[in-house]
Amino acid sequence: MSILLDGDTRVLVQGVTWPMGSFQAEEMQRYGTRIVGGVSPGKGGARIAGVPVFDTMRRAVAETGARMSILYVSAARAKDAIYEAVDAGINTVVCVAEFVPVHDTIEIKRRLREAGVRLIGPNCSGLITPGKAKVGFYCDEVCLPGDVGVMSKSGTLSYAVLLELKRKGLGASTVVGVGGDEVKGTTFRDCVELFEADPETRAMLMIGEIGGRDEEQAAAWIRYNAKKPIVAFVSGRTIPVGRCIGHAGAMVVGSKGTHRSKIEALHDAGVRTAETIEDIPQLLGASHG
Amino acid sequence: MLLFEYEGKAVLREHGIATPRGVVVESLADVEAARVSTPVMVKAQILAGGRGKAGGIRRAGDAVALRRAAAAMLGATIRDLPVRALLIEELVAAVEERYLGLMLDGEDMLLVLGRRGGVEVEQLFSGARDGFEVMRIDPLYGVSAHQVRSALEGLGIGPQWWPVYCAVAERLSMLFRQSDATLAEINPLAELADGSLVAVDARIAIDDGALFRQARFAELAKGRAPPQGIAARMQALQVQYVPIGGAIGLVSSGAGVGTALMDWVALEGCRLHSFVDLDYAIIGGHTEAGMALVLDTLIGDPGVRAIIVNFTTCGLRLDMIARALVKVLDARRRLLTVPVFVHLQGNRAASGQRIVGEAGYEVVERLGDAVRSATKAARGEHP
Repeated sequence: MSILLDGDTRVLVQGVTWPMGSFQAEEMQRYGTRIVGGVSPGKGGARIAGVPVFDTMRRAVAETGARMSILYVSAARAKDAIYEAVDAGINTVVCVAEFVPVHDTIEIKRRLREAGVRLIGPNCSGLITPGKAKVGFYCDEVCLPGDVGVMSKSGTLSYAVLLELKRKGLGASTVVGVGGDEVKGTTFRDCVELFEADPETRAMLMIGEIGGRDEEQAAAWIRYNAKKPIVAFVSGRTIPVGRCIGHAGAMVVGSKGTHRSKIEALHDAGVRTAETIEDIPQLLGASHG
Repeated sequence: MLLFEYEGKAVLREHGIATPRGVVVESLADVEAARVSTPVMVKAQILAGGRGKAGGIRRAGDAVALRRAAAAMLGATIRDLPVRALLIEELVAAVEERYLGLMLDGEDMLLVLGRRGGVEVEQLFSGARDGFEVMRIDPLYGVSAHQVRSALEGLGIGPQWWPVYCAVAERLSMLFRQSDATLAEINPLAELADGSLVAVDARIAIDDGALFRQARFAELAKGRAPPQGIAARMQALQVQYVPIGGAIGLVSSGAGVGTALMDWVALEGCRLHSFVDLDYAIIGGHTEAGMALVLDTLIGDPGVRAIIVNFTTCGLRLDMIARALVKVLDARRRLLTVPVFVHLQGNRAASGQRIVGEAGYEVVERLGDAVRSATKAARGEHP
């Protein structure tokens, strides 16, 4: 059935009365996502995209039975909005906001782990199960339904890669934008585990980037546990050590997070890596047979 | 944001960590007015490591030497940075100099103690851990004294020192969380003959994302010398712009795809002129102005041989981006002597491509086509 999201998933939009929130609510709904309501303190009673707006998540969840929420709130308010979702009984929260303080992300991650709630992001592009539903920015033009489980640190790069797959007739079971910060709720390792268990996912594609240890940690799991073929692309090899260009998390410190360390770890785990994004479809096809 | 040494030391003192007595000066008149008693250390306040080797830290034995050192350093450029202020401090009679630092590593905090001060901690992540003890700490709980004792034991530092180290490390840990720090480093930390510890240097980095609730550091950030020239104009329009120096111009949105293009152009043997991300400019309502500034910068540089325009986006509408792009390109049609390759894919791509194509610009089908065509043109080959 894909992972995390399908056409039956009931989704709430937090911050729905912001221009970005209402625009995205309509885009998601048009795509087929089951948007059941929005939340915006003080704006309860309004309707946006044909669904009710509530003042609190508690009320919204009680009346709609939603299990997933996406936040269109500023980074400064992300922590409170996420905790509001957790306390209301949501089990998956998607946070696209950039510049969430890292001490907040660390605390949020801990609390959600204890509560058994999944966080996707922050600073991410959301997720899409093509042909069924999307929660975040992914659009129809870039992807086909298919059997490749895709995970990416970058939104824009994943769009470019998905287009390369589409050109060769390859599609995705689900695409998860894990986000461009070093500390994140759902990691590559989590995605690989979910895709490995998903009967509709045949192969996996990891779109990584220098910085942090996500690729290495996923590789350590893949080495002993993954049976499905996995292809990876790691971006950022020309970013100089110690420089921050692009994503906040895309930074090499000493020898931590280098392109080489990631490629070596992935190769050791049996993952095939692509030099350019154009090589990816062939590697996914090749690993098929 | 990185704090200057004198700013970091003020924060340390507020949290009960001792520093040498000192005064900050910005002119020779300040030096006279401060009436410090010599000998002193004169330290250039720049946001870079390795100041000592670059002549940015000098000892002055008397008033004449102090004036000479101050005159030489103020207004000078050290490690490519202008010296606008000096910290003049009393000498510290250290019995030993150590390293003490806290830093984030993913979702953990590392407590690092080094037997010798003066080393650069980046070495730690390169595997050279000789002389260091590294304790992995839960940042939500902070440093606990026993972790400090274990590290001290590992380095062979005698138990008579343990209580003062524990106190300093615990205070640094409080500071770390309260200030939204990502790095708090005392290097060196001096052991004095009287059994106390003094922070001889301070390097503290604050999370930029947290400045909304760190009013004091936000104020310091506002007071920083603003960027000059092109960097200032890019910043005013919220354009992310990092000069690289190559022959391929980039007009693009998105951090991830920009990074990938930087790599891809390098695989073809070329370099980007600059890394450009117009995302924030577009969201901030500066679509046309941002594109225009980037294009004018590229046109104004004779080293630029080809331009890649790339918008691979789902969150932004390509029909709107295409209209802005055509307007900006049309206004510069006669100035554009180098080939421009436009790649538009994603949300409303078909109408975006039509708008650009009908205006007479070359729209390429694949991102790789843009890279190959531009790099060929830059190498002087005809695509």
